[in-house]
Amino acid sequence: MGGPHSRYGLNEEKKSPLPLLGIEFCSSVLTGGNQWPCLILFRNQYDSDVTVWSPQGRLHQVEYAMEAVKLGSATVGLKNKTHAVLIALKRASSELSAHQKKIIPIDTHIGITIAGLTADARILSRYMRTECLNHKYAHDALLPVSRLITMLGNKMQACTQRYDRRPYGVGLLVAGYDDQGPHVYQTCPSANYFDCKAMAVGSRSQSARTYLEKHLEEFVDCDTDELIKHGLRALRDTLPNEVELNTKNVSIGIVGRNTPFKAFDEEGTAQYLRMIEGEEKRGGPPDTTGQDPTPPQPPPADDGPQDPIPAVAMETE
Amino acid sequence: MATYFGEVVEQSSRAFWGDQCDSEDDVHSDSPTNWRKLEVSPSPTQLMSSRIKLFLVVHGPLTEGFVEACFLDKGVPIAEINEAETEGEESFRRRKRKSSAIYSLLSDVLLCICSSHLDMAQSFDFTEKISPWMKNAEQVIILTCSYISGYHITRHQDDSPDTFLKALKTDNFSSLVLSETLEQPNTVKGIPAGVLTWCQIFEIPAVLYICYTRSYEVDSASVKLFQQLFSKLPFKLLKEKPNFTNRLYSGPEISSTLYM
Repeated sequence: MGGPHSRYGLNEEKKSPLPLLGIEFCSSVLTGGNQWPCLILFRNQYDSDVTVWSPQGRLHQVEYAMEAVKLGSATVGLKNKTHAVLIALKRASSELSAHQKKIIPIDTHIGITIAGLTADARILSRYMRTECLNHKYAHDALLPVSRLITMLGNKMQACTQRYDRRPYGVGLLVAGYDDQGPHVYQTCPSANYFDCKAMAVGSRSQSARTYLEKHLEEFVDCDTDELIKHGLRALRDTLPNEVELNTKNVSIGIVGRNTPFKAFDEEGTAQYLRMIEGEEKRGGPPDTTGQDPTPPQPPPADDGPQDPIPAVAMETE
Repeated sequence: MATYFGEVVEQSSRAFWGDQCDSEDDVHSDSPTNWRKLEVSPSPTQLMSSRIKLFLVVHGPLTEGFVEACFLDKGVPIAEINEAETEGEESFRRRKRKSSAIYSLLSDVLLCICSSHLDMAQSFDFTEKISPWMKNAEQVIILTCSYISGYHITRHQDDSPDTFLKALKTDNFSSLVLSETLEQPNTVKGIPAGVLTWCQIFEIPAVLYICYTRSYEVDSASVKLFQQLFSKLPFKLLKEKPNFTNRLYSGPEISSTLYM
């Protein structure tokens, strides 16, 4: 090896071949062994097209699209026996703009909240409204929620199987009420959809899901007010300590028996925020005092079918 | 297929690039000769006094925001590292470039904040410039950050934490490492890698902590792990009440209208 070694005046007795420019630093270099650092490529060779499978059977573009949902602000959906509720954290893109709407009414019996690419959400909500209207016109009846979700899933799946389209980069929480009762559905860019008892999506939503899991048994039998308070508490757990829920950054939507879908105005929101005012944060983020939360684990050495060597890493900065 | 270590292999794609240009000029437009040399002012020899206990190197928007929000007031810098100015370059003079700077936090603790404008190709030069201070330090701690998407995992995990710490250390770092070691095939790159490599070669005890996170927005949740880390060190560097109200860094995904 040439220049970099000599610039540092590397002692010739040092055996380990170090990446002396410091451009890369692998942990293997510091294991004390004489291993060569692992060869790194900065692009996953199977991620340039949505129609390309990896040898592990993954569609990387679809998985990347699911990361877009985590860039949106958190939103929560939950239901009891008669109603389904959506609570969303609104975001202001700048000091000059108002907090942007997160809850979108679809029909009198369905509403959605979104997390991810705003424009994609607009297209999907327009599609859902069109389907609901068409059904109402043709059958003089409300479109069942599960059927709408199936149609939506089929529409989203088409984009995961064509080279000239990309997956929708938005996740939806759909709250609806029909003959089968209240529903909360989650959809994601992979075109999968899930019937949920309660769910949270978006940035830092893991804290909210932790809260929802802890109190899941209470939702079924609680009244509407209590249900909304649970949703607000779950959403509050996604916020850092120095930020509070207020009428500007929170949006509440509700649909249910004898309750057409509506999103509360600021006064209605303030009423519920007052109910949880002063309560301490409970069921917050996983306890990390003194320890890291369990991070995702890297692949074990002898895993099954793998992407071929060299190992790959992805840089998206 | 890469033929030597560090070679970046361009991937083939069906995406159409209108200007297919294979000229040598384009390929090597980021060669080291295009990057400016760095210079330190004042010279380190004028500043070296007694040996210091800790030399802290901070790189990345999240770590810089953490220092601004949570550390004691750092005062005026004792040294600055800037790009060398060439005569007659009006455009360079007019451009406002944030410089890297070294601060004295306590009598025996120095803090070096790396400018975000530094390129990876300048890592080597930068490391050399701060090496006099590192030689004079009992230990070096490097803080950096990276997006969680850069951490190699086998399966897409919906429940992966939003932020976690990993560490790399030199052979002779004997103090307690306060997080798990960074596993292969993950790597650290750029200035933090250069500094740690330098410490390894010159046998200065050093540890690097990299915080993987989804967003570089600075708030109490995103810097919590760094706060916990520094609360366990024997240096009183943290403020009683951190200040997150200055919107130190929002990150493009937060301030844009793309995501809601």
